[in-house]
Amino acid sequence: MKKIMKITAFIAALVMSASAVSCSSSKPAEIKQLSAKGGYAEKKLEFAYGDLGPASEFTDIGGKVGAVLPFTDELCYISKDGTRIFRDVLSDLDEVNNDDIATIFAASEYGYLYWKMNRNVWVLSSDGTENQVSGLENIMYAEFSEDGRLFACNSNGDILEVDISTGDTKKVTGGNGIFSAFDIIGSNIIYIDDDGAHFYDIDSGRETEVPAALKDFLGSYRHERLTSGIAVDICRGNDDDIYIGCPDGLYRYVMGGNIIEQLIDGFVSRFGDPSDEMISLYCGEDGTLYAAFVSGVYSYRFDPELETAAASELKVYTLEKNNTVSKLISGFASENRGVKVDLQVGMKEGMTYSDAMKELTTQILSGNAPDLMILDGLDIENLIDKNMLIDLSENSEKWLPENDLLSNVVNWNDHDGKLCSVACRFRLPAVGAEEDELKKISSYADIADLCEEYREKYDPKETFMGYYDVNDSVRIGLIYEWNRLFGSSPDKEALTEFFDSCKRIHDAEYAGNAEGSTYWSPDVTSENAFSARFWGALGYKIIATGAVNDISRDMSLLTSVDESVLGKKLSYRLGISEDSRSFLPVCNIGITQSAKNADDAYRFLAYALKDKTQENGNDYDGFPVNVKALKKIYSRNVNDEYDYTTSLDVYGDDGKVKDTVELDIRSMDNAEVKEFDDYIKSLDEPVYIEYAVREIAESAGEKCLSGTETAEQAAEETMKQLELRMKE
Amino acid sequence: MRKKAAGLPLYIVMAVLCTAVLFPVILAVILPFQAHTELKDTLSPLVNFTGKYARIDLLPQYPSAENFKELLVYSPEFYRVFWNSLLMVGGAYSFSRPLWQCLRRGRLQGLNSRAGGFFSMSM
Amino acid sequence: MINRYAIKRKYRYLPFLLPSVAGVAVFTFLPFVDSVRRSFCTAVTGDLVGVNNYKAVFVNEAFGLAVKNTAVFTAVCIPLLIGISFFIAYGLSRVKHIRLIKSVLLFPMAVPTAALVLIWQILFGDAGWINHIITSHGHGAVSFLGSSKAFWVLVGSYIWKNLGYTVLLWLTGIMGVSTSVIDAARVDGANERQVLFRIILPELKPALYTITIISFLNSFKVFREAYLVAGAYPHKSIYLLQHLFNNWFVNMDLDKMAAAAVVVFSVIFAAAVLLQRVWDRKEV
Repeated sequence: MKKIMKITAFIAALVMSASAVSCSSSKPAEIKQLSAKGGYAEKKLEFAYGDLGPASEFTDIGGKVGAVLPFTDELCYISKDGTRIFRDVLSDLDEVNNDDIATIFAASEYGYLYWKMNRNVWVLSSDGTENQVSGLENIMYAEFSEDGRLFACNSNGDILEVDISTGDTKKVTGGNGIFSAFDIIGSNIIYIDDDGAHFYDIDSGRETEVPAALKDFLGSYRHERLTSGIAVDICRGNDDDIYIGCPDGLYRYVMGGNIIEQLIDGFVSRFGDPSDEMISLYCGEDGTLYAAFVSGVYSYRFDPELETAAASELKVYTLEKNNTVSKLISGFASENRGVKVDLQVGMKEGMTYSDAMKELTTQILSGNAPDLMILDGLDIENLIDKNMLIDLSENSEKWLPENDLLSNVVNWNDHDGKLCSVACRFRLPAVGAEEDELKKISSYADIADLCEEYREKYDPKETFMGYYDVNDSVRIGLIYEWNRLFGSSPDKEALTEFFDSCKRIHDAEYAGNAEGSTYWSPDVTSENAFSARFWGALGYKIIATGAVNDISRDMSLLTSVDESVLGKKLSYRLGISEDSRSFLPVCNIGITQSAKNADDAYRFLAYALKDKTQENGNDYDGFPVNVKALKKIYSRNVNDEYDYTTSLDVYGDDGKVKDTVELDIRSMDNAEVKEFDDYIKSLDEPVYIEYAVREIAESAGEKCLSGTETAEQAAEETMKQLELRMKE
Repeated sequence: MRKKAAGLPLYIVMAVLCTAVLFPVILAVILPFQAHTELKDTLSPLVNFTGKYARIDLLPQYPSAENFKELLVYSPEFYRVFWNSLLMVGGAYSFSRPLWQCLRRGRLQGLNSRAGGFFSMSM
Repeated sequence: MINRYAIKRKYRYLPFLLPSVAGVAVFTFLPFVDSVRRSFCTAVTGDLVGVNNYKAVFVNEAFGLAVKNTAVFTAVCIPLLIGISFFIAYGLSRVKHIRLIKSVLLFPMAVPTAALVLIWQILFGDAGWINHIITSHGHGAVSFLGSSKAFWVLVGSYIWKNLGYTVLLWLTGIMGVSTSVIDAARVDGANERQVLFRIILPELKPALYTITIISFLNSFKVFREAYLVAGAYPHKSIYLLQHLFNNWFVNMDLDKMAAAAVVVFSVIFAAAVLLQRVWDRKEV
């Protein structure tokens, strides 16, 4: 017996050690980071308009390298010196285009593959014959190989070869899921699907092995992990190498090697800018790289004298990563090339709030405090008590822009003249419903009443609240009720009432096993999706809740509701009750006392508040606080550039389509602008949501919603935890 | 010590005790062998309570090694973490062995217990 | 000549001590001295504030609650553990298959805490198995982990985990009692009770001391289970000192943490010295 156990133990140890050894034997791919001197300088090409979205990838037609535009049948090609874009009409394409070509997927000297507006895919061969392509519904990418063969892939993961002269397709191989890259380099199709990166050799008709270094690197850019569409593009270089463009930057890989060299850091360049999107890459004969983005075409030339070693380093800390912060960072970095910006995200994937705080505390103790902190979600009062943040009012000339700011919003955290954090943007909680019902709403409990009423009266399988998540009733409710619940000290009765309302809304919403909302967008969180819900309210029966974020998109929609068109009086209100003047300060910035690089931190703050930056925010960033930027955005109503008409299906009370109407969406007119402007100038109730408290309320709320606890028990649990927290 | 014959009641008490002590251990050992469907019955009420309580089956209906496969084959982090722990144990042992030998020799008479207490407190 | 040899032999153990002493000095002693320094300064900026931190700690309600809970926990579970394990060890000393039962009792120590916590949640959670049994017999569900019963769950968990080790120590002590004395007592007509109370128990004082110290130190490790099961802000009854330290660290209240640590250390050190004195006196 003993002997058997000894032998078993020995074998088990061998097995474990074997796997450990094998794990460490394969060398992981090296990613060579940027060196200190010499880098790629970006230059925008002239006359490159931002219209290359529906164009083809870079292609060489008759010696001219460029992209083919569908609407004008032009080849936008790069000049010989690489500084501007010329346009040349392609006669053969022009002949067959009856203004119905929407997107050109592939173009070359051998022909074109394009998508017409009647939702069909066609090919045009070099001898001028046009044929419809069969079997290519849901086409995603298409590309010509160097010897003229045409390959395309669809959203099911199939790769098909298309005969350019007849339009017939033949399935060649299949992948798994949606592709995030599809390029033909030499005789290989390189594609990335849910399983990772693949090489498919078109000459032999088989999958070939992906070099190990490339496999790991490309495999991390699978579609499900990316937020935008075309995220990775690969082009062939001049020395048996390939260039890979992705959100993390521009990389170069020499075939057969083990090193993937980073040429451009995506974080501080256009590649990682969430507001711009890369379309395609091309490597010129002289080694210059060209990249087409939605915003234009750029050239990247290697300059050995370029100082990439930054003169200074700025450490920025944010609790949660979001697009607003990313855009600020990449914008600031591109304007201040001498500053290396280092963004540290507190709650990285999988980390809890307390882990993130412990890491931050450890960092501060060891002297590595960040220079600038984006304070959203953090306990600002605690940081001020510990003297962590500089009083910004003392050096206001270093960061205040020339134009005015909305001081009621920006200086919301003013403690008797001591200003330790400023808000760069803000959101407005709003409620939307039919006008008669809206009049009755003045608190979250009223919304619960209305929701129950709707569930009794109307029985559709649709939802009333348009939530993204089953716990949204708590999360969104907190926007309205935060100050009442947690303002001075936690109020148990208010909490009980709040959880009770959340439960009622949740039950009414999901009573008929209603399906989840279909208004989904990857970039917007549920509480900021007010306009998406309001949009739904135009057609369905919805009570829109959430926060309003910008003027061009949200406010235009809200103020364009036309009763005569819709057949119902749909209305909205900023703030939950008539006299509520609350706002959510977003992107709160503070500079730490022990900042090593306070100058650049002030410069960053100035950049964030500048009118140019504030004008060009991302969608869902929040309203700007710079008065000049606001005025500029208001003035967009002068021309109808931003107006559009949309057609809607309006549903009746029985859940069936009653009518299809056309609604004009116009920017706010002068009267509406004045009303809105007066409103935001009168805001005086900041609602600042702390992550830790929100977590406590949400976990108790979740238990209440799922029925494990009653509203009162949930309120008591929240109170106990908060009291304990306050005692410490 | 010459043992007096222990009566049956004592054995029964020991048996009950051992069962009570072993029950969680057995549970911890059996749970990984359950298939995902059964594990759902046991674990999902803890996360999302919908009226059903957690079920415990001491004998899995469909025993499967898929959890082990996922751990051993698909999680490379496990090996790193495992060997890190082993290294730490080895290091701590190699540091304390000389001390143990020293204390064992009883050279430090009254210091023995105090030192032992001090060092164990610092652990 | 002989003297030098004697001295050399006497100090031959020093090199053995060096690694441990160095380790303890660098990783425990020096940081503690730094903590004492921090207890007189502010948290982040490091300005000297005298005894303000101590004052803040003593009036802090959470500190009072944590100290009370820790003290109650220790006062409850250590005697319980010692008593229960002694009875089991005594019973064990009279049955066969001692080794098998000893091994069985030692199993709980081998289960990692993180895995154990899952088991406790499956058994004691609001939707757990025990509640299942209770509700199927018609009574209402009991919230074990969210009410004052959490304290007893924690005590039970501690005893369950440390039973084997403590039984082992007791058993060693009991087995170490010389059989000749017991046989002599039996010949003199002593019954079981007298053998137990007059002969075995007095011999077990050293074992008692060791077990008390080790159980006391292990009782602080129960924080791991409490934290993993109930989070950073558990029910009042299981809010221990380490919860408080953990939360203070998260909120950067390092000054209060240092002051509280010094206070707790002084108390424990004083208790240990006291116990040592009692033991030394008894030994003589």
